[in-house]
Amino acid sequence: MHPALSIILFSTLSGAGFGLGAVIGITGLPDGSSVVSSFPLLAPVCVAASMASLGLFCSVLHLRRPERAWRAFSQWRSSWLSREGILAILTLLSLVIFAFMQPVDSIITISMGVIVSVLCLLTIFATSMIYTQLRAVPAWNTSLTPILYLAFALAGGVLTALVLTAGFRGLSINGDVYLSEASIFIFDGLVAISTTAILLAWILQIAWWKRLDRTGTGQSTAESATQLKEFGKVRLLEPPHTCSNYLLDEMGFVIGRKHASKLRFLSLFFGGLLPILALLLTQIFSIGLFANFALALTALVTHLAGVLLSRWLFFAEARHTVTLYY
Amino acid sequence: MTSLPQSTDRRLGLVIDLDVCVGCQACVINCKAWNSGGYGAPLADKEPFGKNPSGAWLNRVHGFETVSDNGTAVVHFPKSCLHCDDAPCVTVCPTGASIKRSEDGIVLVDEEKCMGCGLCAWACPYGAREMDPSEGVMKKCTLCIDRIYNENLPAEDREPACVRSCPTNARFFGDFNDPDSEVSILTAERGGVDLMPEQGTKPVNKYLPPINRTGAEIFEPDGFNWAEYSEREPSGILAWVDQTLDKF
Repeated sequence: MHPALSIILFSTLSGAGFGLGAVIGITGLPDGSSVVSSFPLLAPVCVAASMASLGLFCSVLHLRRPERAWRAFSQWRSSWLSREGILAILTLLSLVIFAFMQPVDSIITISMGVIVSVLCLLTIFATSMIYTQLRAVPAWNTSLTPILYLAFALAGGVLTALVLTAGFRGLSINGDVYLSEASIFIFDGLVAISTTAILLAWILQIAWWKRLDRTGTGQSTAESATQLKEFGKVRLLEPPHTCSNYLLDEMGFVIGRKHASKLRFLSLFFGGLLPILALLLTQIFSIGLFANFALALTALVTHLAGVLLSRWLFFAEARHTVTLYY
Repeated sequence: MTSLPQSTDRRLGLVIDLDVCVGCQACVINCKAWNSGGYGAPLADKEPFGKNPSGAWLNRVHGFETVSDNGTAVVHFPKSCLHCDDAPCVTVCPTGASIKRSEDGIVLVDEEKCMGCGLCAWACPYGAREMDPSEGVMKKCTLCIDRIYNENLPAEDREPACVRSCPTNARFFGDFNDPDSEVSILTAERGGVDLMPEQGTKPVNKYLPPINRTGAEIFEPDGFNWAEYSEREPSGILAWVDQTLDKF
């Protein structure tokens, strides 16, 4: 499948944004701030909503007739893409409402937080189902795909929460900035959770890749596509067109498969190994707040770069059954 | 609504006879010609006279070669939308542009609603949908909806352009819900098959498999030798010319 930059950016950014949203929903504090930030909830909500909105904006760029995008909210009964659009808007709205519902101490505000988290997870799930539902792309057509998308979204979300914690929970004492006792506890806890989440996500990614290597074009073959099995092995003799066409441009991508193993390693290196290394460094040495913030930010940036590359491979390596006719 | 109808009153579709098709591409050209002036936006091309021409076509003919121990065969293979009963391209559509009509089962794109996301083309395992390069909307076979119901056309022209133009009668059009229709009878008698049945799309269009001629003995009449025939002695006036020329 052709890896369109707009779609790769969409699922990576909105994934991490809604992942952060899911974290914010369950970590609201009674003073209206959140575990991930000492500022009012508005600050982390703004970060989550910006990432998610930027991703959604990228997805609109993929459309040939973007002025008709509003019609995509109409077919939720059958279409996962439509459901994803509706859920994304509802989730963004609920996040903004939650940000203004301070303090988070009554049963209503706590329930609202839970609703926000659930909506975030549902949106990520709906995004993954756009691909999972496609039988014509057997590499995607597995229950592992939604789990993979959720795992990466949560890993990105917790990592962003960590950056916000390091950035916004500092205390200024005599001009120097420190983390308070409570914040150090939160920071260290988030480091542990992020490391686990990143590890888990990449273990799932490796499992997904292993399945992909076994799958190819699934049950379908050139012989089942043409129903000429009894005549022997089928191969194309005369192509139906002299140059490339939409079908081959969109669904016949081969460069990804050519360099797959190298690119897989690179994505694992940037998305998994480097971030975990950066996170461990925050624990090994007792270093200042600024260094911890820088390390957390480095972990987030390299993680997102690695995820972008793995999403590129998600498309580039997947084979569509139409290629069986070529 | 992009939900699929439980059942359709009629199930219009094509039967394609792979034993008869000679790959002349007449159906491909007539399809392009008709659909550049009929329903929806014209089927556009990019760089039609340039070095790298491409464009949207609704019907394409592949030429396959099969290889086995019994020998090889060449099969010309026309491919267009199969108007599936369980069409995955319809249910994935987020805008309501992609529909399956409950009256005749035709899978159709409402080009006024299509936002050009391309997800339906990904959902189709057969590659039956192509994005129009200039209009930015999805194009697909309409079963010539603007011919088959068109009372301004003579009765014999009220069938899809590809069927009308086929010089070898390799394509048939009709209602698969009617057991007495030509398409139903052909499918039953010749063992018409679905493409990629494992995809669960339940295609309406059926393909009649070619008759297997691989491994058949090559016809050679007894006691006839081409080498001897070509070197035989001339007779009649040629013999006289032959002898006369030998004297010089």
